[in-house]
This record gives sequence, structure tokens and C-alpha cells, in this order.
Amino acid sequence: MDDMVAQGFGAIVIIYGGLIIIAFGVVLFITKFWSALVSGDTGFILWWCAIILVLVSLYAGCGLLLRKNGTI
Amino acid sequence: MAHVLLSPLSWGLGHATRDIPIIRTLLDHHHDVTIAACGNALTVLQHEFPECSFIEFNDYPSPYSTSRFFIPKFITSLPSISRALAEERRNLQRILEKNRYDLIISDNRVGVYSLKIPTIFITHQLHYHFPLLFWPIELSAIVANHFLFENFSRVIVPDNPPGASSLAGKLSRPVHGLTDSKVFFSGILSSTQKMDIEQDLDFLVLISGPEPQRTRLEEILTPMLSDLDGSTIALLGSPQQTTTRSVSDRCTLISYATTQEKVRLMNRAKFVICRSGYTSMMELAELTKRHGLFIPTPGQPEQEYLSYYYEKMGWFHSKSQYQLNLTQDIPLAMKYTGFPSMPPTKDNVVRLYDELLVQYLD
Repeated sequence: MDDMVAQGFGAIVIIYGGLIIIAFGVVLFITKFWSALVSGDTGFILWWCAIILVLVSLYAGCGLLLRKNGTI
Repeated sequence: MAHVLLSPLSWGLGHATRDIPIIRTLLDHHHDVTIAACGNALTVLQHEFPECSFIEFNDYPSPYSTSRFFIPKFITSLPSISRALAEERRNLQRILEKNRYDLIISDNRVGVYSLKIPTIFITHQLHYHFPLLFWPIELSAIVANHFLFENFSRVIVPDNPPGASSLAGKLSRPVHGLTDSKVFFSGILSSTQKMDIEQDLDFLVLISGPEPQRTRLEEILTPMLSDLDGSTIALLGSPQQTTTRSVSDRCTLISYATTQEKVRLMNRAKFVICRSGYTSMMELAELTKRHGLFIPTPGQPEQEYLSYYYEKMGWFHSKSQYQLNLTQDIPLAMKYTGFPSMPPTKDNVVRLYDELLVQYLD
């Protein structure tokens, strides 16, 4: 197989594989979160809300910083 | 005398038309040129250069979305692009086995390269633009470009070097250590030539680009044209029809014009309303047009970025087709300065030949 064709095939496997893993993670998280909401497990809810807030801030911050520096 | 294989991408006519000055220069220096292309790109070049040899050479489907959503469309079309790429590599192999070439020039066709023959890649996008939310994709694309350029001897960027007169902004800005080592900034390359004629047309409206957005823009713009204060011609870019009709005593709609007719109209126009495709931008820069209004094609991040960039630089005003109001937008657009002055194509192509191409052709 041509090098470029192999790279293209590899990229598709990585992108589609990554998307499937992310989709599974999201579904799993929503299921757990919903169970915690129904059962009133506030500790679990607060803990994960805090983690999501930090992760979203980091993600947005990195993006803004990269754009401000002209990298992207 | 060398033999050059030139292959432009056929997503629209932009790639084929910007190659016209390069092909003309190669022919002027008595080199043989074989053009491998498909669709309208092939037709235009056959018409322009009957003395060249031609090969029907299919490329891949355009991933541009017909809606506002580029990324989902791009991701879903990856398998078909990959299949087409494999097919392109096989077909190129067959072409190279049948004839001897000294140089390959690939205009944005990523699979058109050879490890045995010097290959030059033409692109104005060293960098892609995505909404900020997708910054990891934008970052990954820079690295992907680095790997892509490994397959090519040099990369021609049809833009001025990064700086105050860069026409593509960040799209043509190389990343140090990744995409900068092979880059040659040729300056703008346009087949449109400035004519010494009077500017007697107040407004020229170019309704072009991929369907169904072209038709959508026609539906949005046509009712507004009769309100324009001046002589107006709208080119609808529909080669299937050959009709001309008047909207009012000062406004005419023309379904389709030949390249020569379009160039003449562009030279006559005082104000141009068009999509913000990069080839159109090079044409306006070549003609030193100062006044215009750009309407980016929805779902094309490149055009959306160029609109934003020109607005930021104070060169041209842009408006989304969904918020367009010509009677308000045109007076606003008149306050912008137009592109800064830059070397014309005829100078750029001489420099490109002398400083880059000649070393692969002698």
C-alpha cells in the first residue's frame, strides 16, 4: 500500500475511533449523572460539576491563548 | 526544454485559473506542459491552452458543506476522500509510467507527487481556520500539513510574504520549524488582467460558488438589486442557461458570461459584490479595486476567515448573506480602503520562474 494511502487510512481509524470513544464516554457520564440526580447524590454532582468547570475553563483558556499568540 | 505535468484541483475554477500565468510562462520558455485535470477546470484550461496535452484525471469530492456545518460534513466524507486519494495515486502512477516528466506541479492535489520526480505543491493555506471551539483540530491540521509537505520538493504560496500586505492573513502564515522550510511566496497569481478602459459600471454583482448556496444568494440578492443607485450588472454563474433579463432600467441579470466578458466587466466596475473566495480576492487585488462588499459562503471556514480578516484590516466590508441589506451595507463598504498596493501577477510570475522553477527545468 502507498505510504500516503496508509497514512490516510490510519488517520481515519484514529479520528473515527476517537469519536466513538468520546461518544461512549459522554453516554456513560450522562447515565451516571442522571442516576446521581435521581438518587440525590449531591457529593457526586458537585464533584463532577467542579471537574467539568475546570476542564472547560482550561480548554477555552488554551484556545484563547493560542489565538492571542497567533499560533492558530 | 523540459516536460512539466501540471494538475490543479477542480473544486471550482480557482485553482485552474491561478495556474494560467504559470502555464503561460512555462510555454513562453518553450517547455512542454501536460495538464491533468477534470471537470470545468479541464475545460477552461483546454480552451485557454490548445497547444498543451491533456489527461482526464479525476480528483476527490469537495468536503465543503451545503449548509453552515463544515466539520460534520468533512468528518463524514473522510472515507470517500480516502478512497478517491488511493485511486488518484494509482492513476498518477499510470500517467507517470506512460511518459517522462521533469517536474510535477500539483495545485492543492495532495496525492499528486512522486518520490522520483521533483514535485511542487501550490497552496495558499499553510494554516486552516476553524471556530475557536475546535482549536485542537486547527492545531492538528498544522502538524498534518507538515507531514503532507514532506512529499513535495517545494511549496508555492500565491500570496505576499507574511506582513502588512498578506492577502490570505493567517492562512498563508508558515509555522516556524513545521511548514516554513519549503515555502516560496510568489505573490498573487491571477489570470485576470487590468485593462485600460473606463470604469462606467457602478455595481458588478458576482453570484458564484457551489450549489445550493449560489442559488440561495441569487434569491437573496435579486430583489435588492433594483434598489441600487446606479448601473448594475449581476452575473449569475449558471452556465446551463444563457439568458439575459432586466430587473429595472438600470439593472441587468446575465446568466453566464465567458471568462473574457467577466474580466471586462470587472475592469469596468466601480464597486464589486462577490463571495470572498481567495481567487476572487487575487483578481480584485490584481485589478486594484478599492470598493467592494464580500459575502462569505456559509459553511466555508476559509471564506468566513478572509471576510473577518479584511474587515479587521479595514480593507473591505463583509456581511453574512443572512443579514444582507445592500442599501445600508454599500455606504458602509465605501468607507473601506481596499487592498494595499502589491506587485502584479506579471512581475510575480517572472520572479517565480527565475528564482524557483528554473532550477528544476534546466
